[in-house]
Amino acid sequence: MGNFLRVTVFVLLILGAFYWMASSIPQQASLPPVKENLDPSLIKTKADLIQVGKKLYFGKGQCALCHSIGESHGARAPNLEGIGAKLTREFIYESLTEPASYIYHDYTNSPPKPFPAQMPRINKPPVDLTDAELLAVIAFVQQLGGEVTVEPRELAAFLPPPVVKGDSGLGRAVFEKLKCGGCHQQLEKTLAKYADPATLRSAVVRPAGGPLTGNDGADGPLRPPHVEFDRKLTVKDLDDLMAYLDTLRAKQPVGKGI
Amino acid sequence: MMRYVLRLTSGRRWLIGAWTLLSAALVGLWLADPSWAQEGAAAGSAYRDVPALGGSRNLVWIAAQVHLLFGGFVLGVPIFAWVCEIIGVRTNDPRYDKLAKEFTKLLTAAYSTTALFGAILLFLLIGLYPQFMNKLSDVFFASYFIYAALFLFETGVLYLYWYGWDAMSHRKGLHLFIGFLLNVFGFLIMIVANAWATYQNSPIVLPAGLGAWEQTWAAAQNPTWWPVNIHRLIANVVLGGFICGAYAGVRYLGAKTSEERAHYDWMGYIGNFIGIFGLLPLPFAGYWLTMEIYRYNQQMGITLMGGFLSWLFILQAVLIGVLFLGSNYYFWLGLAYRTEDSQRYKKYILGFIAVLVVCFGVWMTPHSMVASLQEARAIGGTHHPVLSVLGVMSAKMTVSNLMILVTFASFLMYWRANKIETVSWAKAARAVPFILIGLASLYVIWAGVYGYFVPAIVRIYVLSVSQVGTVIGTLIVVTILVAVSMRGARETTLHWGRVPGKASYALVLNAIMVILLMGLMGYARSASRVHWHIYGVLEDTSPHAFSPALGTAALMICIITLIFCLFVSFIFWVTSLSVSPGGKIAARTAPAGAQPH
Repeated sequence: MGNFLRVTVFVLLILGAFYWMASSIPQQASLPPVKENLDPSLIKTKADLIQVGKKLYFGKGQCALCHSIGESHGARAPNLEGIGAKLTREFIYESLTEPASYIYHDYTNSPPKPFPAQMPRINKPPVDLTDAELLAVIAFVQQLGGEVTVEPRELAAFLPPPVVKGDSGLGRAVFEKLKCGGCHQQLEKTLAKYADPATLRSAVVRPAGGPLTGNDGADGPLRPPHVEFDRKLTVKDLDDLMAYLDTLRAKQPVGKGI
Repeated sequence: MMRYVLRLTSGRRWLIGAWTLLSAALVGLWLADPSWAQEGAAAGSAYRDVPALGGSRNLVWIAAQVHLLFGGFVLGVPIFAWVCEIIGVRTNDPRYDKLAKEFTKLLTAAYSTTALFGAILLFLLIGLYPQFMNKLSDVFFASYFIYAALFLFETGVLYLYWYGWDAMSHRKGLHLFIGFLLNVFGFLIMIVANAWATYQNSPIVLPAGLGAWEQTWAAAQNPTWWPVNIHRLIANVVLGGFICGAYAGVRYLGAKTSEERAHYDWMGYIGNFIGIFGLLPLPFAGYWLTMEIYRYNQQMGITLMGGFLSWLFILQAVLIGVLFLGSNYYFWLGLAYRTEDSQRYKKYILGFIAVLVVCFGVWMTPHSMVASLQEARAIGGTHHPVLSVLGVMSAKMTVSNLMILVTFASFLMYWRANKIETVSWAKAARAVPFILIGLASLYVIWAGVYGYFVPAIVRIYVLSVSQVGTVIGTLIVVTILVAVSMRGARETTLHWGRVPGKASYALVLNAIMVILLMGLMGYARSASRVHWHIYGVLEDTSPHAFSPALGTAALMICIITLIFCLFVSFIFWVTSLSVSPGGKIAARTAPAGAQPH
């Protein structure tokens, strides 16, 4: 009894000391990451796109853990300095999503490793970039010495479906009443340019304001009728017209050319 | 007719009471709120939760870790029980056969408890994490058949090994072969279970269209499978050795006769020796495993070593440091009390203590400090201007290697304490091992210092590997050299049974350190997956997806250690109940000619 109790007390003292020590050092729990999704509607220019790509490269994409931009002793994967001038967009896409399918012949820093796909597929867990995020990363990689061929409007394909408040049938009547088709014969181009529904709505009633409403020659010079719309159309008319335009947008092919 | 007598001393009644109370408390917590059984029971749910002990994750944590500790014990003990039996056969020394049998007796009692906790773990996983178990079963279904078959073989062979011990006393070759099979099946069982666990941490892409067997085989061959297999194999020997040592230590404290004291003193020494024998190469296996984790996924490696788990390695350093000190202290007590003319070792022991304490201090020095703003300003940042230099890997690799060399030197001194070489080169035989250890230490220190001036890649792949190679090489060369020089050596008496009671406490301390270490590193391996059940494949979306801070984790590890110790105490107590016809406990009977040396 005596020995067993003494040993038990001894064990409890050791455990107490261990617990005390572990509780005395910095306490930090590891929480699951907060899910952050890229909002394509906020990307207006190539500079925006590259900036988002850079953030993904050093953040969620975890590319910088292994790849350096410039010479680095610690890098475990190819140096990406000037890589934009060497690789096509398709090749970059394949390297990100099928990293084991082809090993770039200029990569001589270390031999291939015995187990497959040392570089993870960037569009699969645990990194799991979305298609829109992939486009941004491609743009960032392209600008490392090359020309960026990814256009901000390509991200429109990944916009979430807008909340439609109006009636598309009534909106069609509004569209015909205003004779929109008379001027907008290449309507799909216009809709692609105004990917964000709020921007499109603004462009319909205030064609002279905002950077996206300038004449870029895509569908001819702006027509005077737009000036009158904010007086001619009720809010209900505008909601219906937006609902109709959304049905036209939905018919367009999306996601091409990543 | 053999009569078995249950003699319940007050200590044993106390133990039964504690065990019953613990069991009742666990069942009570489990049944406290039966509503959990209905929660989430809808078809297709990913999780069920329980209100007890902080939720489903903690229950699985306890069951898994206790199962793992028992598993480690029952797989580690047969290895050295078998080796002891071989030594007994080769030397014709009956003490080793008796020791091997006593180890196996502990093993048989612990075996069923291992299976019990395995079943509890399985029920908990199926009930609380059905989606995860479905996924794991999709990948590893074929391995379940292998595991079940191996378990049957292992059980059958264990029965044969234990119950056939006396019956096969004249057919030792056959008995040893059965012991060999026991270890083979044990190892295979371990690597099957390791395949599941390592796939969780480092899954590989499984091509579509694979058959069940191909898929299982492909998934098993993930990058951390073999490093974990080797690491656990060695760690099991360490755990088994130190627990047997602690068992002997406790029995030594309660020994009534000089024969008993001599026997359990010797058994404690063997247990400690086995533990140390495994402990020396264990850091190298750990280094290999960590390198593979980095190779597989750098982010996981950084989470482990440089992220929120980095302070865990300071705790690990403290535990390992105490383990080294405890083991050396036990050797030194042996030198002081069992050998004659022990004063001559005093100066060496003082030197060893100094080196160990300095190394311990360096190993537990963190790289960066957590300081208040005022403190940070006073020292010019969160990194101490001098001490932070000791917090990096180069310093830690150096001191861990030095601690291994010092411990080996302690053992060497003890090994030769009662022997006088008779070979013609005796003078060189006494000097050369220590010269080699000294040279190895100098190289380890030089490589450690040089490591500060080279890129990380050189330090990791060249200098650290060369340090490890130098130490392992020295251990092997010196062991062979000393073993050869000892042939035909004259031996003086070692006085077994004279060490003071504090030697037993040192043995208990070592066992607790190893259990805590296994619990801590189990938490590290699991937490390195962060919020994934299977890293990158199946995300943990339960409310328990976070990894708790070290204080909370330490509390869980202490609870697990306590549960494991209570069960082990109960099992060891049960094994001591069988008594011989004359009322004398069989295990306590001194063997013929049992003056240990």
